[in-house]
Amino acid sequence: MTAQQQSGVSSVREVGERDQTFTPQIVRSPLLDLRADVAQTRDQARALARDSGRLHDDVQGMDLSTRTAAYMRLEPTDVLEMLSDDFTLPWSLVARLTGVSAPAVRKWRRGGDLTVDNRTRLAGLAAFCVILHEVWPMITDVPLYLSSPVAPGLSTVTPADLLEEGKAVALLNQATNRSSAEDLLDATRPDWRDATGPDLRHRVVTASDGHPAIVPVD
Amino acid sequence: MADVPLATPSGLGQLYRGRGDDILPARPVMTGDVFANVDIDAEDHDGLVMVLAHPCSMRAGARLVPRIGVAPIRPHPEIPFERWPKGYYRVFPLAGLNGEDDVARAVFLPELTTCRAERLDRDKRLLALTDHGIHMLQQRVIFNMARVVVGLDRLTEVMAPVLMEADLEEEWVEELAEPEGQLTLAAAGASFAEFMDAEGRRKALGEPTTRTDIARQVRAEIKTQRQAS
Repeated sequence: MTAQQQSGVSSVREVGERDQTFTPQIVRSPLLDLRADVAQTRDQARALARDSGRLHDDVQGMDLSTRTAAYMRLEPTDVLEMLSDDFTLPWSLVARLTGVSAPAVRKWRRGGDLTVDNRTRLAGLAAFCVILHEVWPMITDVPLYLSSPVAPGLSTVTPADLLEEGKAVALLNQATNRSSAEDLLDATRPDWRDATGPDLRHRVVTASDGHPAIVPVD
Repeated sequence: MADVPLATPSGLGQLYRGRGDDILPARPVMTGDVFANVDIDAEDHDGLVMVLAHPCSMRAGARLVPRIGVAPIRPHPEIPFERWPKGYYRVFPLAGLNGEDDVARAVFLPELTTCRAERLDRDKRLLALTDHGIHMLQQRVIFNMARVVVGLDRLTEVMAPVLMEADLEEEWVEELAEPEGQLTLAAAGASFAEFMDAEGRRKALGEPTTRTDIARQVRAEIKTQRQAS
């Protein structure tokens, strides 16, 4: 007989009532409720962000369309002069982004006729440049912005490439940091990681004759 | 066998800046320009050549050097765009040189030679390439010569200053030379070179962050000179 048995004191503890457990980890704590509340708030915020993002995209699209319509009412020569005077766009870039040749743009500058399609594209380009500057005034050099890679070191895709494909709203979102460069490319060029990698074996330097040169990366 | 990552064009519009009369004499002679009636002592050759020389290599200051690097153009079976990276590395295809119904041709890259600069008559230029077309040409020339692929992004970067200068020179000469302006073509070209030589403008054109500002200065000066004349 053990000492416990001799003393008559049971070593078995009574199990408490079901709502009075002694195990610390399942004690009901305020954190459980807080966790549930915060999780719910997070899910609501995500849904709100998604819905407001879609709404914002729609509004941006409407803004682009409205401004495009306004610029279509101007003489093309005036729109071209604005693209030159206010944004210093090279004519070759205007040609590319309106889907015509550089000689065609030159004829427009001299008062030549435009098709409705061309007029729409030209007005759309003007609308994009104006809105871009409004929503992100830090972009003061629009030609540089349009010709620089969206994700340097990762992809050769430029804003001009995407604008040519009609991705103006997506570009505005990325320019204003509402989406990352990778998100922009994932949404617009799903194969960008395989198909648009930069040449990482070479770099451009200024040679001793003062002109740029391509050399191997060290 | 490995794929050779040469670029694939999406269409002639991506390659060709203009043909025939669409190319102004105001545009300086550039890489990719096609000229007729240039005798280079090549076999089965009707006089068509494409300039392969780099814009800086073909000039000493504002003037062309005495002899310019060119290659002959001949008829050649048409090569679909999607086949460009897969072979035909000895040619740069030229479909529709004289219009959509023209026979297909190609530049024969291994036959690089030179011709006298005065044979490259800007009034008889048949074709000029876009910036992208020039980059694609250079990529194929480099691969033909050295079996090395340079990415189009690096070619774009290295060529940006000189191609911008060519565009600005074209604008300047077009606006200030006859018939729009008062100067001869040569005088307008010389005045542009003088403007670019001054105040470090050509060097600033070489920097991406100051390039647009130089373009702005050029356009402002064009307006000033137009108003003064």
